[in-house]
Amino acid sequence: MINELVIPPALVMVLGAFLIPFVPKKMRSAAFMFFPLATLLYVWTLPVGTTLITQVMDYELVLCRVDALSRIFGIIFAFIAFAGSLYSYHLKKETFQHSAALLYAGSAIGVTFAGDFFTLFIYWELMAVASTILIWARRNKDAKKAGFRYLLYHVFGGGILFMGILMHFSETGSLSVTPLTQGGPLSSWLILLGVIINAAVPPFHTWLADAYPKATITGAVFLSAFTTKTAVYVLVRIFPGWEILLILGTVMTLYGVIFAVLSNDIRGILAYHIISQVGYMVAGVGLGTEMALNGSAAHAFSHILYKALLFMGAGAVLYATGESKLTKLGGLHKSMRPVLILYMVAALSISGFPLFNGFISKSMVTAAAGESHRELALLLMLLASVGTFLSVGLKLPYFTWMTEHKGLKPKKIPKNMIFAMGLVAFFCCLHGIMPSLLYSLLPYPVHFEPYTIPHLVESGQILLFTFIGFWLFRKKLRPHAAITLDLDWFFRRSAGLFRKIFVEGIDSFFKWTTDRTMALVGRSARLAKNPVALFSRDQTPSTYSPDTSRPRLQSILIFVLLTFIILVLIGLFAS
Amino acid sequence: MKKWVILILFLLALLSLYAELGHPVDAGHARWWNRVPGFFIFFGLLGCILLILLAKALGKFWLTRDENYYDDK
Repeated sequence: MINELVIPPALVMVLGAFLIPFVPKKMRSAAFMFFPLATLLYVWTLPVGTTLITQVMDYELVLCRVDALSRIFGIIFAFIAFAGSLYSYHLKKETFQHSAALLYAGSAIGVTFAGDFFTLFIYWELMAVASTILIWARRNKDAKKAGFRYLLYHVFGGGILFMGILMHFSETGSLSVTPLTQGGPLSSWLILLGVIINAAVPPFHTWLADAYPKATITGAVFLSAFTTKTAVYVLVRIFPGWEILLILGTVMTLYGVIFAVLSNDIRGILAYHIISQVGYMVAGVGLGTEMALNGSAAHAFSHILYKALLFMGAGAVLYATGESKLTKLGGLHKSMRPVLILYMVAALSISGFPLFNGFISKSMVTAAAGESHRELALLLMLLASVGTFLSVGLKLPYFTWMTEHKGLKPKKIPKNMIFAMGLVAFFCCLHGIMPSLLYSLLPYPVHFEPYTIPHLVESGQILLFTFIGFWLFRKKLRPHAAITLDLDWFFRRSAGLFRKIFVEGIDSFFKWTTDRTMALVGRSARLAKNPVALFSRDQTPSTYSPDTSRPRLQSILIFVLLTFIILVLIGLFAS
Repeated sequence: MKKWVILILFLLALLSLYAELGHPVDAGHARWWNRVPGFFIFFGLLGCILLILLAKALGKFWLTRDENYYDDK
C-alpha cells in the first residue's frame, strides 16, 4: 500500500527549530519538548509504505519513504529527542541551543526517511552545522577549538559524500538511495568513505572523542544519539554485506575499549565507547545476513537509549560538581545515589547484562557472526564486551561514586534531569525483559532467542570474571591527570607547521614579492625621470638637468676633439 | 572485598559451570571453545587483565601526555 504524505516527519522538528525563538520565554522549554513528542507520535502512526515524492526541475525527490528500517530509526530518534528535551527542560534561557538541538534531531529524521541522495545530503549537512552549535554552546576555549575541528572534519566528510553522490548520479542517472554493489566503482567507495567518517570508524573517529566531552551537558546527550547512528542507518541501507565493514567494525569495538581504559574524563570514556559500540553495528552490516542487519538495527536502538542515559548520568555529575575528571571525582555515592542507580542501569545495559537491552541486541550481532562462521570476529567482539564492562560498568562508577571523597559538594540536580533519566532507564529495562517489543520493530523477521542457557552462561561467566579481574587490578586503573594521544595528533601537532608553511610562508613570500616589485617600480620611475643616473655612481638629482649633466658631456666632447686633432696631426705629418 | 561477596561470586561461578555442563550448546551452533568447560571464565578474567595491561603499557610508553600538551605548542 502506498500512502501519500503531506508533511515529511523531519519538518516538524526543523520548523520547531525556527519557531522556538518566537515562543514566549516561559513556554520555550515546553515547546522544546512538544516538537519531538509530536514527531514521535507522527512517526509512530506512519504505516510502512508511506511516501512523499516531489518534482524539482527534472529530478524526482523522495522526501519521505517509510519502511521497517527507516521507521525503527525514526522512532528512536524522535523518542531520544523528546527525552533529551525533558533533560534540558530547566534551561530556560538557552533558546539557541534548543533550536540547534531540534534542527539536529529533525535533520537526523530527515536522513532516515530520505529516499534520494540529494535530500539525504541536505539533511546530512544540516546535522553537521546544528551539532557544531551544541559544542560551541559550552562557550569556553576548548569547546570553541574542538567545535572548529569537528566542523572541519564533517565538512570534509560531507564533501567526499557529495563527490560520490555526483559521480554515482552521472554513472547511473539515479538518485535513489538503494544498496550499492560491493567493490563497485569509485563513486560507491567515496559514498562509503563519507558515511564511515560520520560513523567514527578509525582512523576517521577523532572528531568524536575530541568534541563530545567538550559539548554542553545537554548537547552531549543529543550528540551521542544522532550522528553516528544516522551513519549506521545509511550503512545498513546502502552497504549490507560489504566485507570491509566487518573488519573495520571489529577493529572499532576494541579500539574504543582500549582508549577508554586510558581516559580520565568521564564523558571521554563514554565517547570512546560510542566508537566501540558502533563497531558492533558496523560489523553487523559487514556480515550482511538478515539476522546481522536486524542486530545492527536493534543494537543501534538499544545503544541510543543506554548511551543517552550514560551521558545524562555523566552530565548530572558535571552539573552537580563542575568536574568531569576522574582524578577530581570520588565518594559521591551518598550525595548522588539516584544518579548512580540510573547510571548503573545504563552501564549494565551497555555491558550486556541479562534483563537489560544490551543483552538482547548485542548478542544478535555476535550470534550472526557465529552463524556466518566468523569465529575470530566473534571472539574479538566478546573481548570488547569485556572492556566495555571494565570501563563503563566498573572503572567509571568506581572512581566517580566510590573511592575516597575529594571534598566536592554537589549541588542539587533539577528534577527534570532525573525524570528524563528514569524514562530512558525504564525502556532499557523493558526491552531487556520483553525483547519482543523491540524485535517487532526490526526490518526482517526475527528467529533469535536471547535467553538460552548457553548464552546466559557465556555472558554470566564473562561478566563475573571481568569483575574479578577489575577488582584484582583496580589499582592499575587508578586515573591520572593526563591526556591520551590519538590520531588527531597528526593534524593537531602539525597544525603549527602547516600554518607556517601554507599561511605564514605564503604570506611572507607574497610580502617579499610585493616589496621587491614596488622597489623595482620606484627605481624605474626614478630612472625614467633621469636616465643619466643609470651611468653614474655619484649622487645625482632625481630629475634630469642638462646643466648638471653638461660637464660630463663637455669632457667627452673635449676628449673626442682632442683625439680627432691628434689623428689629424698624425695624418698631416705622416703624409 | 567482603567475604559474603566472595562467597556469592564463587557460588555464581559454580552455578554457571553446572548450567554449562548440564546444557551443552547444540552441535549445529557449537564452536571449538564450547568443548572447553569454563572457557568464558578464563576468557573474562584473562581478557580483562590483558586489556588493562595492554592499555596501560600503550599509555605509559607511548600515548599519555600532560594535560596541557596541545595548549603549550
